[in-house]
Amino acid sequence: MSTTTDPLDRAQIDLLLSLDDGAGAALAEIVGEYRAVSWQGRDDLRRELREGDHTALSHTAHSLKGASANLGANDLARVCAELEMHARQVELVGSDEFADADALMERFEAEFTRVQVALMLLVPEG
Amino acid sequence: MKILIADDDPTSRLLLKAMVSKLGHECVVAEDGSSAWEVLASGGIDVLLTDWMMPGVDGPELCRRLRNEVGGAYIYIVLTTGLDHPEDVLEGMSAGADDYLTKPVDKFAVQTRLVAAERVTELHHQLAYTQAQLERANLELLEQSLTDQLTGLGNRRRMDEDLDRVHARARRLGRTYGVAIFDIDYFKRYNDHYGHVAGDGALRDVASCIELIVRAGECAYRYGGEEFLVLMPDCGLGDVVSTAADRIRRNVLQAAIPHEARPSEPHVVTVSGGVSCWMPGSRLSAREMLEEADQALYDAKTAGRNRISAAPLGGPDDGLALEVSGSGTSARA
Repeated sequence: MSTTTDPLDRAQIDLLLSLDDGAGAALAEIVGEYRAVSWQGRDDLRRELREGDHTALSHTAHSLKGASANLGANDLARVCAELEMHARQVELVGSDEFADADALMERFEAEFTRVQVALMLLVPEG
Repeated sequence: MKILIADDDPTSRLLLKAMVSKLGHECVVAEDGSSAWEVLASGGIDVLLTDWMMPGVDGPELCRRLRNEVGGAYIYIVLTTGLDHPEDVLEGMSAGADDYLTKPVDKFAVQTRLVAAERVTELHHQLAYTQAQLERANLELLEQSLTDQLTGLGNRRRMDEDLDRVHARARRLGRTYGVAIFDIDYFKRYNDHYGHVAGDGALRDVASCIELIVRAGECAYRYGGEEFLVLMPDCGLGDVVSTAADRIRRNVLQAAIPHEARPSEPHVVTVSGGVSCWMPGSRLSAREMLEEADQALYDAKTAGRNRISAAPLGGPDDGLALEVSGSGTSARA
């Protein structure tokens, strides 16, 4: 994952900004919800991975993928998709010979932080 | 339009809600399939935008329920799904969805779906309206086809249907029923004297006299030109039919509709009547019941008119004659 690109897709942010009359109320509301959802999701992912609960892991990763895409956090959405796929494979065949879960989680954590920082700059927490 | 958004992800709900509201539609949100189902069941929703994956009742299940269980207005369904599972789309459409959106949803994609939704729901509204109108028109036509236009009483066709039903029921349950046929006395002379328009008026007046006396559960029909028939389900004993018929005869007499051309006293419109009564165990068919009453009517005519005559109880085989009250009723031997 390149660290030079913007963690938030500008086009999606513009779309969110266009949803009200430019005051950014809709954007702020969605960012607020996303903060709650994503922090909770990160905690869940960590726990589910530790406990080896791949059914829950695939659900959490799926939800976080959709929510991140809504905010234009496309790289984070992609890592979530990989996590979801990984969890499904383990569910299906009982082993994960295709992906290294720890490496995936490391990438997730790094991207997660970048997204949160970008969101902080976009909509300061009030 | 009133749009329901069902999604377990709050950011998706907010995003869709903002888009839909901005397009000028009313918006309701549900956090999962079960609460979406409750909103849908309470009515008033035009479009459902539902997520594919939800805990409990998921998108496809919601589609199936909606298509199988909710009556009333058509609800346009758009499924939202991730791009990574294109096979979901086919399953969703098969489950009853009208269209789909891929996540993250695009403003213009939502707008185009809603344009289609508006057109389709409008068509369904028109269809439902037209169908309701047709059903109403059909009922009116049916009613008309069973009603005598001049008197407003049931016509011969309705009488045939009702008689068959009452007869079958009496046989099955061991009940009684009575048939009374009335004929206006010297009606041809009335028409010749007063003209056909007045004749129609007299028919209407006599019909009203009959209808006024007919009790709940009984039905009056125009049986022929100047003939009327009253069907009395569960009439009890045979003499009850004669008594009821005689009450109708007296009511017509007391209406005192002038009939100057009547060759004998009284110079008012009168009716003669013949009755037959079906008793449990009788072998008479519905048609034979009519013939019996008709024969009794003939007897009443030959006995001097303005009177009621009764067919032998239970049919000719029983040989039971019915003697009836004084002033104008007689039993056929």
